[in-house]
Amino acid sequence: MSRYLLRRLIQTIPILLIISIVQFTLINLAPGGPMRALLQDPNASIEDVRRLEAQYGLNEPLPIRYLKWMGGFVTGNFGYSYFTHEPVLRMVLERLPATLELGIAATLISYIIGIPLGMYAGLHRGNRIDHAIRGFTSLLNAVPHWWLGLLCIIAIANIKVATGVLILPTGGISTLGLAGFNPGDYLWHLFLPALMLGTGGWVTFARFLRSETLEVLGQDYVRTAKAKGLGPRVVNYRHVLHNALIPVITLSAGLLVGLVSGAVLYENIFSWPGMGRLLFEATLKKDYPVSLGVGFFLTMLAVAGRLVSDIAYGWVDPRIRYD
Amino acid sequence: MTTISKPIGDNRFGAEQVLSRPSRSFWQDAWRRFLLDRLAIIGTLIFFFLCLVALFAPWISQTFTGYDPDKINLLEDYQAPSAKHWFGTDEYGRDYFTRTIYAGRVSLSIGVLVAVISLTIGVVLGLLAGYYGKGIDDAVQGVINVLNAIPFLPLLIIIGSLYRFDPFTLALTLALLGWTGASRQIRGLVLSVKQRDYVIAARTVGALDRRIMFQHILPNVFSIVLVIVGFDIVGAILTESALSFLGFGVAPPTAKWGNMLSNSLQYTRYPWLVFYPGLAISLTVLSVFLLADGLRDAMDPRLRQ
Repeated sequence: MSRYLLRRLIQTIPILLIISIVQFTLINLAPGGPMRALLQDPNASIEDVRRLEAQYGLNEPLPIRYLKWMGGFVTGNFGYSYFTHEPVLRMVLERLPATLELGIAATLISYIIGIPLGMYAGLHRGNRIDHAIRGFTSLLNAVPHWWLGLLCIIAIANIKVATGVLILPTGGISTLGLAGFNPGDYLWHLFLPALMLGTGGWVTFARFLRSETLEVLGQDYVRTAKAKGLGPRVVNYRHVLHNALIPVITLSAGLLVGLVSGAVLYENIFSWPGMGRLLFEATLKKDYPVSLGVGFFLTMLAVAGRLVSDIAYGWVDPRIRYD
Repeated sequence: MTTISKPIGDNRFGAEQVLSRPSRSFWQDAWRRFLLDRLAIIGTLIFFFLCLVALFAPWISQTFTGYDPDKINLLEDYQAPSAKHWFGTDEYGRDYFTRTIYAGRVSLSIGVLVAVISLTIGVVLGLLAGYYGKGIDDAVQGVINVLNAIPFLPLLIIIGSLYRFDPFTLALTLALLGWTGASRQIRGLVLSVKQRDYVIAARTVGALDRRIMFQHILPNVFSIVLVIVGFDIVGAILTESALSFLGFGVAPPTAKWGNMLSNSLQYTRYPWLVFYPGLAISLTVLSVFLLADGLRDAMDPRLRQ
């Protein structure tokens, strides 16, 4: 197990290296270069720009700059923001918890809604509720979920105007003016963004688990279990669900990458102070050290997520051997 | 009962009647099944309707509404939907219906373009990887592993801020990132098809690899290609609209469904401005899904439920 873990860890290194090279090259070869934001300042003379370039080490050849950046990265120095001169690492770490919490909440929501729905639809194939679940998930699959988020915000705002009652917060991480950390208030704010971010997940899980359940129901071991006289509960949970869930875990790996992508979108819509919003704001200001740092950190997060779900896959399915 | 030529056993059909129906090709069979699939037909009709509306957007807006998609008219801002402005107007008084149908031109053509490019890359690499295996396969799978590990939206935001996208470069970028699914599926099919007898027969008589790949293997995996096209179009439209919603898509002022929604949070009193562009995206995606699902069922009878 530990050898497998080590090997999988080593396998991620080339992936991360390639991605970092691509991101670094893209930013540094862009028209105007990484100093474009500063070049737009009418008061900046050529000398100023040269001096700043030297200060940020931009007068060196690209490969050297990459190696220095990577070296800094390994030792925990992600560079400094062009605007606030804050260390990028500190900015990222400040925003990391919010993104992680949103992502974990969305994952939990997609399991909690998706698995029971998919399982139920599979076990009761053809009945009315199965049809309803299939129709609803097909429809939700076609709708951009961030648009649903926008519609929810608009609906909530209009209800607030009409009745004066705020059903759910439409943005931010805590109520303004509230002193200290209040878990209830925090969860209240987390609910809508997490539900929207998790929609893609639960819809996929429900649809996938339905067809997996149907597949497993036709297997010999299910018939054997029934023939032995086991009750439907035991068969459904111990035999059917257990086996149908295995491919769902594989699916989680791909969805995690989607969650990281979605973080940018949903954190923006719901003013959630996470890394996605930081990336958006920094990129808009052309604060490239921050964009690069956050972009790479998000990629690492996605890679780490895939790793975890790979390991979980082997742990759940004893047929997978680690060698 | 004197002639011997008449069969003696089961004679329900009469001896002269030909028992076999005329043979139908795979595509004729698939076509027949497709026509019986009501949802698929609905999806096809909606999709072609949307394509026609996008294609004839200038004609439609001239004939029926008479507005220019980018014409600003501050006297008529935030109008509710009416006979005059079917979908209302936005904060600049631009006719929202005209903008919505013009936006379809960008979104749909990017979707189709991405599907064509990514499919070309995916099919060729999938064929090569599946057919030759070994080094080529390892290399292609390696690239796929890297691409699948990247969260696209952050990367696209960075690229979009550095290099201004026009519809073609955006489509090219999306395609270069998104060909992996097609390639994986094709590779899997090629792996099984290349073991078939007719491929071995072709190789035995000395056919070149190129001929085997494109004349013998490709036609037999082509049905899945059509299905992948559908899912690629959908993926591209959804990514493009998310990107232009964030403001990093094709440069403004071109109307796109995504960037029409960019100011949504200021539209709380004008919900129709949020409703219509999203509805257009959803309708497009839904129709392509129905179409692709129908194609898949029609071409693979085993998948029918």
